[in-house]
Amino acid sequence: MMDATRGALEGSAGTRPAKSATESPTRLHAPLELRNFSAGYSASELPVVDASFVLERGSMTALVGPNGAGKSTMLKGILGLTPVHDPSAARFFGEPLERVRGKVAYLPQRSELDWSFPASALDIVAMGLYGRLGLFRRVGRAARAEAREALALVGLAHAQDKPIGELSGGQRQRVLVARALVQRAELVLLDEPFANVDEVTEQTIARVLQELRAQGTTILAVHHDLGTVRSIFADAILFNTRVLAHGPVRATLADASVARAYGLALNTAPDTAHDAERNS
Amino acid sequence: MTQNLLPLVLAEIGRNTLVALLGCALFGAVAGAVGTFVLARRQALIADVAGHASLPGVCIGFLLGEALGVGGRTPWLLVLGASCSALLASVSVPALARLRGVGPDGAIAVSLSFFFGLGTVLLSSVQSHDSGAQGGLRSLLFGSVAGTTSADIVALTALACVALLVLVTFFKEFAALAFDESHARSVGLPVRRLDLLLLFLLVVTVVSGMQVAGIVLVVALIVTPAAAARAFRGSIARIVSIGALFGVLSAIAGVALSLRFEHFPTGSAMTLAATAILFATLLLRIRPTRGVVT
Repeated sequence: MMDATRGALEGSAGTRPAKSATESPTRLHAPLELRNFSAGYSASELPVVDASFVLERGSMTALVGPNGAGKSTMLKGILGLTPVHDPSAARFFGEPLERVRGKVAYLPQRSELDWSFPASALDIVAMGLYGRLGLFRRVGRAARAEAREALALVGLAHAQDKPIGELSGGQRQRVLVARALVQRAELVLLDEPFANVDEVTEQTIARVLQELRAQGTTILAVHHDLGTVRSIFADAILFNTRVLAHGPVRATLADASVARAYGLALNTAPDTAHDAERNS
Repeated sequence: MTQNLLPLVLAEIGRNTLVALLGCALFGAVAGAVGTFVLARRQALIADVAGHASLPGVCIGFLLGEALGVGGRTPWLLVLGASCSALLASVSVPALARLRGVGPDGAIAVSLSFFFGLGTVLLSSVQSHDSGAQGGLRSLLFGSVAGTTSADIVALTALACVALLVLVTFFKEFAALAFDESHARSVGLPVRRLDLLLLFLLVVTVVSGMQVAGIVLVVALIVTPAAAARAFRGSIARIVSIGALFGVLSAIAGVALSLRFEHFPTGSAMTLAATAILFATLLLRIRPTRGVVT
């Protein structure tokens, strides 16, 4: 069943949706464009150096590279969560991030979060709406209904009232995906969404991302598993501190042999090697 | 226990004590509610620092009141002094933690002991003051509801109301911050300002309860009821509400016990009551579906 799903996903992976004729001005620009982007805590120690690439609208790209290559740092740097050398080196829909925050969703690594926090699955999904709601406004009935809908899309309608501490690792990951879904973003950045998840979760997330892509959403995900990257993603960026290659996933990963010649171990664990969750 | 003691208290005390009781209950509610976020942000020991560090501020407020001729027990001066020193100590912790070899726990120990040491020096200076108005300050360490004036209770209530307002207004933002700071930042929430606001909320709560719960033990009213509430399941709002309820029960039981048994410090009684509730909730935690180990 998994192979069939992968086959179906692979079949649709090569096509990109046509651009809408009624695009807004910001849509004329690439959802994400990096020009000599560098990130890190000090000038002498930059995990990301001079990264340059453009993501086209509706593309679905895996950011692939060895453990410690700086993939997560790049994602966080793009979003201003870690220090960057030049913030203007990253443009979102032709604008700085501050102007288009509502169009961008971020899904951090599951292991970085405090799952003992006393909240239900629905609470966490509703957090995706906080940016849109703004300060002072409460989560109302409509917002809760939207969050419920997103939970249903990831197959967790039954678990909306469940404390997040009681969810399995895969269910937690799906909750985070649902939180990203309610943001209705046009660009979704995900950090290891498929790391240490069960098969149902992997299929569900892959399906949801494909559906988003079909609607024109642009997706960039840190991914470590070369075994699944071809079946889930259309494009890939081969990354190790610098962008080594970017293009259709098969062609780019063919370059992996070149990368190996340089001593890069590509089939590696996620950046954060350990997942401390008890329920995963 | 509370139901049995309450009629006794009401029979023995007058209107002033009833008002004090209600004020303490409000403080307990706020402390128990704020505690959920304090625990989630790993700031329990910052609450302890803020409590201990309010002592030098109170003493400076007292001495200033005496010097200005408005009286050492002027509540707004005590509150202002306590808030300033508690806030200063709280923000000093991350600054000290950045020093090489100190670390967060070392910074907490350095800050807490310095401010408390300074406070005890100033307290001895206050106690040598010849005004006779310093009586209430003696019970500041472990709290005393009997030693408070009606102006003290007004100050307590006003501060608890400010804290409650801040908590209700920024409830969802504090929740987002507590669970996933990176995501909160990515959706454009002003994370740094919210963090400072949470610290302000913590300090206001500490200062609100310092006279009745005592500066040494006020942390217990913030942390223990919230910790007890974690034995329950449900939404953030539900857990925070349960923490608030446990805070109210702890505060009322503490006041009742300290009035019933003389020389029983109010803060100590509140702390014992809160801890008793925490132990009672352990029974919930060992049920298989909610097990301690999950």
